Amino acid sequence: MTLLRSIFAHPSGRIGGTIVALYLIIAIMGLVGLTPHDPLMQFRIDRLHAPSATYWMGTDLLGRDVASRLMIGIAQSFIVSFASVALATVLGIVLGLTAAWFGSYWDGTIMRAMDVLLAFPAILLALLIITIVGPGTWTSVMAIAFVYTPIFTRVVRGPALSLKTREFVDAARTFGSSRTYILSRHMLLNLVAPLTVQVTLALAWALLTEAGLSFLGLGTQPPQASLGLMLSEARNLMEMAPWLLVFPAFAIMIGILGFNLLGDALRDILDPRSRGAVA
Amino acid sequence: MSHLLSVSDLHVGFGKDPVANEVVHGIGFTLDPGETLAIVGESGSGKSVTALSVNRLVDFGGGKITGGRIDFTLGSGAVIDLAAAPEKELAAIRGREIGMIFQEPMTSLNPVHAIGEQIAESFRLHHGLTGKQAMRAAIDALERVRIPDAARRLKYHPHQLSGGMLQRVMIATALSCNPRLLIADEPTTALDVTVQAQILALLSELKRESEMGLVFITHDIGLVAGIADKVMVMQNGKAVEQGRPMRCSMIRSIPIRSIF
Ligand SMILES: Nc1ncnc2c1ncn2[C@@H]1O[C@H](COP(=O)(O)OP(=O)(O)O)[C@@H](O)[C@H]1O
Ligand SMILES: [Mg+2]
Repeated sequence: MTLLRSIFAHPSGRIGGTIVALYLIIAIMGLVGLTPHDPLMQFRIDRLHAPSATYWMGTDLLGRDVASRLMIGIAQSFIVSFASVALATVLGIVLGLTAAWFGSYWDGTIMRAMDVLLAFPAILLALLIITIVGPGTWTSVMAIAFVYTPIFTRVVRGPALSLKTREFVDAARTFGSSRTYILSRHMLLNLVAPLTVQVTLALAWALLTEAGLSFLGLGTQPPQASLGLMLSEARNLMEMAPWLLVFPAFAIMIGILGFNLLGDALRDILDPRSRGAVA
Repeated sequence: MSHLLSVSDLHVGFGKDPVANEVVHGIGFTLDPGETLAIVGESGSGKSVTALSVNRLVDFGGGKITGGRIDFTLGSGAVIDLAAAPEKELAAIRGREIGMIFQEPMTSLNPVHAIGEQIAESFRLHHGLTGKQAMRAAIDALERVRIPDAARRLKYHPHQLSGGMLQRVMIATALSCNPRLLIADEPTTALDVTVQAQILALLSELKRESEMGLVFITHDIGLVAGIADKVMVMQNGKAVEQGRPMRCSMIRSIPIRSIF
């Protein structure tokens, strides 16, 4: 609660937080079916209808309501982004913590593997994985998670290396605490701040990567909607029906802006040097 | 009767070749229940390494015991050679039988947890207490080290307490399981003089209340006469002098500082 209050006291946190909260509400409404129309229903007589009172954001080539599709598109993009970032976070924590803790060959092996992954451009690596496994929602989740795991591993390993030598870890050992306890209670909890910032920023990238993959036809498959897929479908009709392009494009842009602003705010708020604000 | 702690010909080294990189060269001493041994010596003389060898924390810093014995009498009466004991047994002995406090109370506590949590940890671990019981025990532990208003202080985070208070918290944690041996590695060095005297007085009182052995490490020879039953003076990883404080030439050579 104090964190929420601090976010809304921070100028960019207020904007970013509001955007992300709005998107979440829209996504949930889309998921439970609270859309103006059925997003898959084709209103044949109203094909390529410009935005109006009935179709707030117009209709597409098949006569489907763009506003409704945008809502489930946001939901779909969010599900993929959240799932992939969650997976990347868990993998990054496990790899980064154990690398820092056990050191030597284990550390060397993990970190060199991560370096190799980092050397590839994100979307290229994701493409490679999808080409091997085949397109689909859960493949995108895994591909995006895989691409961002190295970043989380590094974010965890660096501070974990220094935490490991802190006296409170030694002190915990003097009263016989187990390794699991020290890793989870003393190390991981001290990593919550950098991880929170990283998660928020990663959500922005994941949103973009998901859009890119779907745009290329490798993510979400029709007739489902996702922001990238909607852009891809709008591409050829750009001049005739610009609303098809404008709304999803803005949705992506503002979503990413929201996560980035929120991430910046969290960075400021959770920074130990300005800790007084939270504690 | 066997000693509480009997260290003989202890050798400790660091790194890939601990024999070549030896920093403690054949230390030996004994300690009986209720006794205080002061280890004094200049910075870098091997006091901390010796202390950390006793509960084998030195293993975690890349150190290795390359020779000697550390015979410790457990509460059950059994004698165990800590230098050769497996980590599993050591983990059960740490905290329960041997407590330790460090120089920097500020950094010995985890900044993200309330102090009550950290004291309770030990009770959960060794006595299997849960939730409320552990917290109740933590309050008792804080009262034992004369922290006023313990129930409220339990919820404080380390940055909200002074250095002296934090050292009391550390002592409370170290003593939570009534260990038979307490190792205090320069426990007062980071504190200012009045607080230093209070902590020393507290340690003496607590030791009188139980029959605990105390290994007290300091580089301040002036403190020794007031607290120790025997002294070991270290230099370059060797014991250069051992005996009762007043018989020790180094100690006699300096004026005794009144600490209480
Ligand atoms: N982790 C370590 N790795 C290598 N050398 C160490 C390590 N810890 C201590 N030493 C060395 O051991 C010697 C004794 O150190 P220490 O016991 O900490 O001295 P002090 O008497 O000040 O407590 C020093 O020369 C120090 O450089
Ligand atoms: Mg030392």
